Amino acid sequence: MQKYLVQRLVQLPVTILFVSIIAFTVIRLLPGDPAMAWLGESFAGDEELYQATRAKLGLDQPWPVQFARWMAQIARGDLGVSARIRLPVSQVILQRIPITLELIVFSMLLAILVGVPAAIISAVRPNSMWDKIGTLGAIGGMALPDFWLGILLIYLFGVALKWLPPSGFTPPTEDLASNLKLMIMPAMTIGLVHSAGIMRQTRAALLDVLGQGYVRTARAKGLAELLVIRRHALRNALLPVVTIIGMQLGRLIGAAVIVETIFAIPGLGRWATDSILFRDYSALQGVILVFALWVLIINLLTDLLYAYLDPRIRLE
Amino acid sequence: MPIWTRVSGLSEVEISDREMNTKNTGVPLPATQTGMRPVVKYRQSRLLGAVRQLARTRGAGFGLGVLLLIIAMALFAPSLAPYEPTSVDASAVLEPPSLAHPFGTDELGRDILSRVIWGSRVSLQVGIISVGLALALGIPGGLLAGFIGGRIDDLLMRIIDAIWSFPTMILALAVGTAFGAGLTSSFIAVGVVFAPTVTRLVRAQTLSIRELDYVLAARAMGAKPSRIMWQHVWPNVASPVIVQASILVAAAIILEAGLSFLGLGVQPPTPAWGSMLRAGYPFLLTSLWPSVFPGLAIFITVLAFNLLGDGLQQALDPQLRRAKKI
Repeated sequence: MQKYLVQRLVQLPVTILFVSIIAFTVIRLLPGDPAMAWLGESFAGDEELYQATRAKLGLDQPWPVQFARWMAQIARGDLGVSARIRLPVSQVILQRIPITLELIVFSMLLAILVGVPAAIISAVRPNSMWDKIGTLGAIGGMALPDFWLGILLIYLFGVALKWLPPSGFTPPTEDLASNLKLMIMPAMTIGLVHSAGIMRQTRAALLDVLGQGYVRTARAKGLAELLVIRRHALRNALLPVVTIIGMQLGRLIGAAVIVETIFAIPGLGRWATDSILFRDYSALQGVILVFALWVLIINLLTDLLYAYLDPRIRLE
Repeated sequence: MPIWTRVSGLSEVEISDREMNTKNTGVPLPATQTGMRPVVKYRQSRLLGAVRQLARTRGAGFGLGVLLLIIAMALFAPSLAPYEPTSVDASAVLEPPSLAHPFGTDELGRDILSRVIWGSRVSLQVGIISVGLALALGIPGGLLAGFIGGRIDDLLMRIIDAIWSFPTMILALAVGTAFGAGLTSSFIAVGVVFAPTVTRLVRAQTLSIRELDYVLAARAMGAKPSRIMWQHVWPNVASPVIVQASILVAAAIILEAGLSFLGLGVQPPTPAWGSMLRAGYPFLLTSLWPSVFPGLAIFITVLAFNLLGDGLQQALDPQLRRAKKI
């Protein structure tokens, strides 16, 4: 376990270095001139001002120098200044992280609350009507594009039934009720789509475990079925479930990109797409780095949790 | 084919299968049970068996049928579509479904049914070409990494870890923007984003197969590494890759639709399902239809590819197949 932990922790900085190189390179490949983007549309073509801006942004330096400078900046916690709103990128990211985090937490909770019970109901009576409904639902859910589901939900709850406001965002410090109301549909959009994967994985794991000898033994000795499921089956089926939840938690940040756009939520995902469209180099670099760190940390935690839950890995 | 296989009268596939049987059960099966027949017939029966198995799985049969319909729709779009997909009609804007326009019309008065039919071309092309690209990049990479191992493997895996830590949508957006708007850019963006998945899968399979006895036997007989890789390892890696490819096509179609929903990828007036949704949803307050049918088309196509993938997995995985029989 310790060896494994050390190995993973040593790999992390190497991966982060590669992440930074890829982020840096891809962003440099984007068409358009960041100096022009910085100067804005009112720029009249003053060559001196243009060159000065390039120098100020460090764009007159060769790529390796730009990269080294950027890495040095990051080490100081400085992610540069956004060309679009002229604010420090780190400040904007810190403002927006809680918004995206709220969306992700609600979505994941919903995905688990729908996926796991549905899987238990299905696996306990395989091939029953409930199993068929659950499995069909999961197969359908996996094919559902999140942006389409989002649009349909807006129509259903926002336009036809008028139960919820169609889109927008209110900070929870301002009006908690309104904040929660506005989060329901975005969280449903992501949560329902991702519950499908959780349902299928949990059902398969449970079916596998329920066929094992120790479950038969538990039943044979007269344990209540609920106890058999909870203590013997679910606990052992937990491993693959933890893996898929971890994987999805990493992926949710990608789903946030589209869902935040549909529901007009000023989170990190929206910021990322806006930055791509505006060629806001510093903003994009910063936000991509945050995304990648999020995924890396979640993956690491998933692996550690896995090792913790499975004595076979822990004791090795 | 080398002389020794001809002498023994068995194809390499058969030998490897026999080895696999030994490996799986620990007991060598008698020749009658390993299904050995003359080379050509054997190969046919293996393929036929897979197809038969596939058709027997209910979901996969449905998926395959729907897919054939969608492919036919894409091929015969010009004669199937009742209207030109780009012809604008200012007198019929945002009309609900009617006999003249079964799916209604969009914000420019274009027939949505015709645009959905034409849009299948974009989705199918992106799905198939970009996954082809991912396979072309990922299979050799995975085989090399798994087979050679060592530093090359370490380096490649770190790079893949890094690529995997970017959200798919962001990476595809960035790559797509770098190559400019358009269909080709979508191919590249989606292909590059999915290549690491293929590499990982092929590498993991290669790692487990490279340790098996028949690879050792081939090596002992002096087979060149490239020969071992393609003739002995690859055929046994192929099945999971085929399954994965079918599921990746589904994911590619969703990803492309997402890209064109965000305004990247295929540009107007070319009809694509994602960009049709993008154009339609601002009018949600007054008309629902432009937001329904393109999404439904994506949903059905993706569902079909997913079902096909599930069915292929059951048909191609001998362990699952055996488990089912028992």
